[in-house]
Amino acid sequence: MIRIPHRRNVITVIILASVIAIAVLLTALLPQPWSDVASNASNGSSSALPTTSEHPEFTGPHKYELLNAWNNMHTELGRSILEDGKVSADELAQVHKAYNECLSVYGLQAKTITDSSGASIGETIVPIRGSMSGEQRTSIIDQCQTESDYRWLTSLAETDQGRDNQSE
Amino acid sequence: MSRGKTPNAAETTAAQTPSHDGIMQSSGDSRCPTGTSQIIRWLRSHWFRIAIAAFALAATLVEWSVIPPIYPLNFLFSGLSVIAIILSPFIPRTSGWVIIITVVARLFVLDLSGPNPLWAAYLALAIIGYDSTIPVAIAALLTVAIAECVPVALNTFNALSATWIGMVNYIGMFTLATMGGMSFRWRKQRDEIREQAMVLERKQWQLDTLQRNTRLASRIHDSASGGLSYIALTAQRELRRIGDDASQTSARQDWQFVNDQALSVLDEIHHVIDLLEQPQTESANASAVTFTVTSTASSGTASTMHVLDAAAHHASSHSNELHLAADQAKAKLQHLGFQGTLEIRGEIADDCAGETQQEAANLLGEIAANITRHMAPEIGEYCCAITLGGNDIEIMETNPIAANAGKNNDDTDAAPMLKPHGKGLAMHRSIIQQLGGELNTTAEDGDWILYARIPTHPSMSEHPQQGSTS
Repeated sequence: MIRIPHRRNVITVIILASVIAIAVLLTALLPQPWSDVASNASNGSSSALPTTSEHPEFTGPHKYELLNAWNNMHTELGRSILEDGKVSADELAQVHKAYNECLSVYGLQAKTITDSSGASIGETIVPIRGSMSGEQRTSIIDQCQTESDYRWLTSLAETDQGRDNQSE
Repeated sequence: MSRGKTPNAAETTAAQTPSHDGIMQSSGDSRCPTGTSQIIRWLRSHWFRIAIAAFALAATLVEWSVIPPIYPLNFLFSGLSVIAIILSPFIPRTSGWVIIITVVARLFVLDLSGPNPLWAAYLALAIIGYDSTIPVAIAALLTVAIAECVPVALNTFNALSATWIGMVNYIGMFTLATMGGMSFRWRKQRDEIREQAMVLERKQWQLDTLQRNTRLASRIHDSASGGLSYIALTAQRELRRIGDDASQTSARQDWQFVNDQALSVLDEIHHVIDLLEQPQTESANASAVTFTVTSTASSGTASTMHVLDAAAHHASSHSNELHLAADQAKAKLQHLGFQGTLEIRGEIADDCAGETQQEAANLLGEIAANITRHMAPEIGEYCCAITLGGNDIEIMETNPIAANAGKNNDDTDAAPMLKPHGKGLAMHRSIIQQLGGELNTTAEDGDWILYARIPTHPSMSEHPQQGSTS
């Protein structure tokens, strides 16, 4: 009488454990974004998207900068943003989100610094978890900026913003 | 896993169902409540589990929303951890170990995004400390502590601390969580042991009382019942012998009186024996059990105790009891040759408590009995006035005291005075004081004076002894 429910529970636990184990194995096969950032940062390598002869026809005074950025893009998101030759605030926010996702894998978060009026005057990196040294942290931040295309796109966005200000 | 576990109060009452998980086992019914009351009872008995699980869940979900897990494996383990937190009030030990497994597993996924696993880890250790045996709790603590030390040893970036000194703080926190759970269990066990001891003590007291009552009932039955039956049978035989002889009307009345009183007291004794042999109930324990004394004026020797439930407020059934008691006392005294007045003034309040009226009626019987003991018919008259008020029932009685009252005058020709029991008025005083009233007696210039005030709405509180003793 006592063993029947006990055996039933053991079977339930075995089935649940099997399901979880299969789920873990299947999930492990899924891509793990930003997983090579640490190794790339340690050996200084970077895997940009392949450079081909097909690229948008950039025009204007910054066309060579845009072309250089295009050739250094690491993500399809970055190239899609750069396709029109302009980096809008929304597009930059998308890239910033990807950049933050890269940082969060390593226990870091980018925090925007604002002045008294609420305008952004820069950003700082805050360690949330983990035990990285300062040197490791700097290399990870650099690598995340590079691999999320945040480095190129944020400079182009600043250039665009300056150009808009001049035209006004 | 269930070894050494002491079920809590709610779980003790629930049906015990063997199960893999100890808490599932002990709270099997509570997992599937069929009614609102069962759900409320379950919530009351598990409120602390729910509270700490809700806190851990809230902290985890807030962190999840701010920094969602990036790696799919991290997402899977974090999701399992959240599910285990939600299930922890229902299946605490299983959930606790699932949480620990996910916490350890996340250490091997080099992704620090997602909710902080420490909230769930503290919850799991506290739950296992509360619900499992000490070795199991220590095993869980060591599992988490050693697992968290691995990244420190390997110097990977997902270590809780870069240094071993820093790990001491975390291990201390893990230990505190486990000890917290264990200390709550020990406190609960202590409370349960105390409660069980009280229950045992109460049962022992009930058993002792029942045994004592049984002995009392047996003794009353053996002594008083036999004698009274003999008195009644003797009176009935005399009545049959006298028959309808007109010249012996007075004797017939006397024997009839003796027979009626003997049968009446016999009924009372049987009633008392029935009450004594009843086991003590919880309601009887909760309410104040009062002993009232009724005396039969004719025999003067028999005092019977009625056990009354003080919580019985049946005013309607008692409404005429006081008048009936007054009439009976007056008739008995008159039959025994005592002259005097006994009158009731005023109307009894509609909301007058039943026990007040019962006690007033019983006191009248005791007063009549005392008159027969302490007064001789030829030395004067008694005077008794009962005043019924809105707040109180007042009884004032005076009578002259016979010179040989309370003495056995075997060398005189007069009828021997009845030996007083000496406890009657004292017990009435105690009862009246419990009802919030007072009973005072005094003897001045050869007159006995009694004054009693019984509130119509008893407070049922203990009062210090007042007045002189009978």
